[in-house]
Amino acid sequence: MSGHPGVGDGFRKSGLAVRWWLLALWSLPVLGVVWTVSQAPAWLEPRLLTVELAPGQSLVLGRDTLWASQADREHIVLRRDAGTGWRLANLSSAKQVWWRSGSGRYDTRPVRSWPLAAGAAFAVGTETFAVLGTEPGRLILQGGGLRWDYDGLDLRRGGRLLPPCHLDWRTRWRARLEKLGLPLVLARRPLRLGGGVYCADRLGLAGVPLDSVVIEPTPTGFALGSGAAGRRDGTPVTVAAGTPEAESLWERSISLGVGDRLTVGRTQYAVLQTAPALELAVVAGARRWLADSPPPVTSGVRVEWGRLTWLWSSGPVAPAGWLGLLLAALAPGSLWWAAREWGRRSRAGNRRLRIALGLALAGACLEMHWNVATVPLLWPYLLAWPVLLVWLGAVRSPWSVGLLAVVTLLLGGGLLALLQLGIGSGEAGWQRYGGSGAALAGAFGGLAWVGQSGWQLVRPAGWPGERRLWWGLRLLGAGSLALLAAQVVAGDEGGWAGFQPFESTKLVLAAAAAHALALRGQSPLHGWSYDAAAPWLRYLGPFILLVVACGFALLFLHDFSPLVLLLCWGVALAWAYLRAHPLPWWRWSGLLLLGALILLLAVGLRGLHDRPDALPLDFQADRIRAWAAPEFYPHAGYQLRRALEAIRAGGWRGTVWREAINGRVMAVPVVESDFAPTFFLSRYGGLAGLVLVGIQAVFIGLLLMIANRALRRLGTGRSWPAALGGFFYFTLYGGAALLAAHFLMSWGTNLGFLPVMGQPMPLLSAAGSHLVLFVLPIVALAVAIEERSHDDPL
Amino acid sequence: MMVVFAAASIGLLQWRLAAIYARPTAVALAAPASPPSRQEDAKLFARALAAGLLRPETDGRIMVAPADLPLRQTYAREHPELLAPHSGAVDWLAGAWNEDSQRLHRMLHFSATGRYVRQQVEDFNAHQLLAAIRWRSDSGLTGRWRANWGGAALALAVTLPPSIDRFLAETPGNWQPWQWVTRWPAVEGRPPVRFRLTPARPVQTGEPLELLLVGAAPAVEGATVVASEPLCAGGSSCAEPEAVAHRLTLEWRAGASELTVSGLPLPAMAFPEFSAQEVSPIRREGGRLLWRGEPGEAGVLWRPRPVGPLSVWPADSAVEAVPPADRSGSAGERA
Repeated sequence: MSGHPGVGDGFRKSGLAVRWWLLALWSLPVLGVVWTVSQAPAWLEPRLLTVELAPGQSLVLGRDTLWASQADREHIVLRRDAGTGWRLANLSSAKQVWWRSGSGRYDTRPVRSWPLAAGAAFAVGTETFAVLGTEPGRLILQGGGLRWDYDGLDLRRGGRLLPPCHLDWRTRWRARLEKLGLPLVLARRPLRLGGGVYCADRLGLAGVPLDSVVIEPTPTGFALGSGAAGRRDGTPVTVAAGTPEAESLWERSISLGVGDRLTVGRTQYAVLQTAPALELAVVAGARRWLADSPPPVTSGVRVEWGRLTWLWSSGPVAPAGWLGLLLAALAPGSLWWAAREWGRRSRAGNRRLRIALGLALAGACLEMHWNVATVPLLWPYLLAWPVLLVWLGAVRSPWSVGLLAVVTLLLGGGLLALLQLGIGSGEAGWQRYGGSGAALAGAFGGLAWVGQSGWQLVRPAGWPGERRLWWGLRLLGAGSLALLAAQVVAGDEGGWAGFQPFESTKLVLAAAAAHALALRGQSPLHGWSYDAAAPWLRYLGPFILLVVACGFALLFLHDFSPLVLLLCWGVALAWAYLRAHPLPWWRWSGLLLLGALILLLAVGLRGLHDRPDALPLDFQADRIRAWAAPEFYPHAGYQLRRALEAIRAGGWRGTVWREAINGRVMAVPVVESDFAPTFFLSRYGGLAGLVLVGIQAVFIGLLLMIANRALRRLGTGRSWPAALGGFFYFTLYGGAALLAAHFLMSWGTNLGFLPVMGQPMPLLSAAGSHLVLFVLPIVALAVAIEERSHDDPL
Repeated sequence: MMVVFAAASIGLLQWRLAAIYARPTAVALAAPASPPSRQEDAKLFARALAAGLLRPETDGRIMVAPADLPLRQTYAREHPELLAPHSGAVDWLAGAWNEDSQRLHRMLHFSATGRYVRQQVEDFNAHQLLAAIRWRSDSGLTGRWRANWGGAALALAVTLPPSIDRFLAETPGNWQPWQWVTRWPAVEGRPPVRFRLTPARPVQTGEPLELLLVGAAPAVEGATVVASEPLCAGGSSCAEPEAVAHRLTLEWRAGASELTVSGLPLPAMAFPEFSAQEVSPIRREGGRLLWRGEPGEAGVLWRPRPVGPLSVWPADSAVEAVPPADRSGSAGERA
């Protein structure tokens, strides 16, 4: 391994000191966790609820008696049958109770749900429907003198296919895909009863509000349930109508059995036994009680309490034990690996073993992410921290080390804040955000390890080939478009299949645009030209991606904030292109024009503040108006008002040093994601905020410097891999610009100098897709470029 | 360069934080300096009323345009055969429908302000009707009351608001507590409210009981009406058209297991003290609906009342609520 003169030599010479500094720096968030845990409030959490009733008796339970978060005060009623059986009904007017049978016969479904069967009947208001037939993907009803057929996607009335409820581009897409015979299982939707129109997924009913009742497709057929507008004191719904078993849907009860799972509010329970008493184990998300006073005794329910489970769950429904054993094996293994890498910096290590360990680590982290509500609090952190240490020890370039050190501080600080969010709250459910973020970061670290080791096995030296890169980008671009399409067809604004594909689209767009600009750099023609040598067609890919991304934001997400992000990215990319342009006239005139454009944008923003009604977009206009004149918008400006109150309460020093409990800052909506900076400022204070923004600036600066170094070291020439320099330069520049825009928008949203925009703050907010599909890949790319340059200097 | 960038970032944040710490109202949001009438909720309420998206009913309630009105309008033009028959007095398709009303409808149904306004309208409506019942039985019969209205279960409470309690003067005798409908759901029209009494033991034919019903046009099932006396405010006898309550003397019928008493709920407008309760910022003045804080109401800013302990449970649940921690007693028994 040959080194580079200058910084690298100095770094190597002072290697020992640097390593100690890195270890000290890595220890900071670790010490922070130790301090946070030591200062944690002495919470008691309910572990086991025991309900004893004589046969025939019933008992109303709710938020206080079940220790259920976000439940109604009187949410369920438990009734003991004449024998040993127990029945449960939902009393809440609008909130569901979810139930999963321990027998495995049903998926999780609401208690107020009635599986439809052929021959049965139900009534909504004054209208009665008879079920003529039901099977997966087909439901036939008879009601109002007509026959209704529903296949999970479209409704037929008397055999006639009803038109889409909204004939928009999304509906047309679905229809075309359906005609192509593509499986739309994921696109199935409930049939909504009520409202005044018969259309593809709505069955109008006179005098019944839309969405009072829905018919959901299930794996075994269809089930009738209450809709978003369904209320206990609203339209009456009778199931098993016309039979002795007829009952109101709102009164439906289920029989509880051992192994059943329940969710009341946000709290999950498992039925442990039903005789002689009903025992409910509290699985996750319960309300807590401070141990400095005895918990209130609730009549009819006996509660067993336990302390927070930091490392090992002592409850009766401990999560998978093997996961703990794997954790116990992986954490020391990872630390040993880190020490080995640190000491030997060997390239001759067994890469296959690395891959195996990395995969196991990533697998364990992903398992924790999926079960984050039930794993002990510190497990995800115990896996994420060694991964960071390993990476800090494994990289050789001082620039990579610097970048990873900054990421360690930012990610460590962010996870620390989310840990505080979880343990300073009176509801256990908040702890999942930090745990999930740590698990995902650990999984990404493990997979990055696998990727690095795999790449070294396949191609031990050299840069990726031009064709490989070109095809890789095409595949990524096509994959991004497919994921966005999947979200449009089968997902919603919140994402698809549990993640947000738009985050990866941003990254792919940055890379595709970088590739186009790098090709432009390779072209002999640097001015405006229609010459065939100018690869115009090659620019089509990123252009299509950009158009799709903008259209997706405008037409599907109905959110202007992605456009602001892309605008910042475009300006930064133009700046990056112009400042490296080989023709001076183009360079200087372009930069001048760009400066004028930035000035115009600033003036436009100011103008928008003064005249918010001038905004041409029809959606989210209330956010602009609330930003311009918050005193007139107590509702649209509610988030910002609460955020500023919380920030002011924190002051420069913050409240975490004197109050272990989070307090009123938890009332800020989405305090775990978009308003995470508010939580940070309120709890840790303005001074910590200054430190944070300083580190964020260094982070962006380091990315830009690595981008510049890639350009300088590799160049933009026509030969390969020299042309890669341009690609890396533009990709990192674009990525850094997007990250900087995220930081700016997030600070602006939280401090009120920009309209509220629902974008997370990188490495602080709880935003899994944003972290692993956008932020960490940019960091990984920068590290990979630096490491490869370090190994194979030109 | 990086140092300059970091220093500039820190400086800007420091400047902004200092402004927030020093003068929070500079960035937002304490008391509005301008008349509160310009607040978004008051404005939206007034505009929605003017556009016909909020319509006052004769019984005092306010109807809100349905959430799917834009779709109904589209279908009325393009597929009129696919419109569900409309019920109730309000034909929403009859009103004007233009870009302004579409924008207002969007705000009313799909914005934080609209959600708040609709919630206040719902609260207002829930207290625009009045019906209550109480009873006594010399034979010591006990039982449980439930109520429904247009098929929807009603919540009953035993405690009357003080204004109504004063209005219906205390009746001498061994009367059970009032069963008062605390909240009226959004049911179209004004069907009769049905109170159902399930006695705790089998009743004997001819066993007497007396009822006091607040409401109009009472009808009884399961018992024979021996006497019916219309009552006016204060409990004095008066003619039927002016009556707000009825004293009914009944005798159980043979084989009856349940008593049903129906009556039309009264518009709360008939009880000024009652309708002036601070349940919502909406109020009625000279036939006009106003949002508190509108012109003419300067300085009268409405504030939501703190929510007190809940003492109401769904009366139609066939079970008895067991008070949680703060009350004594053990598990309730099935009625």
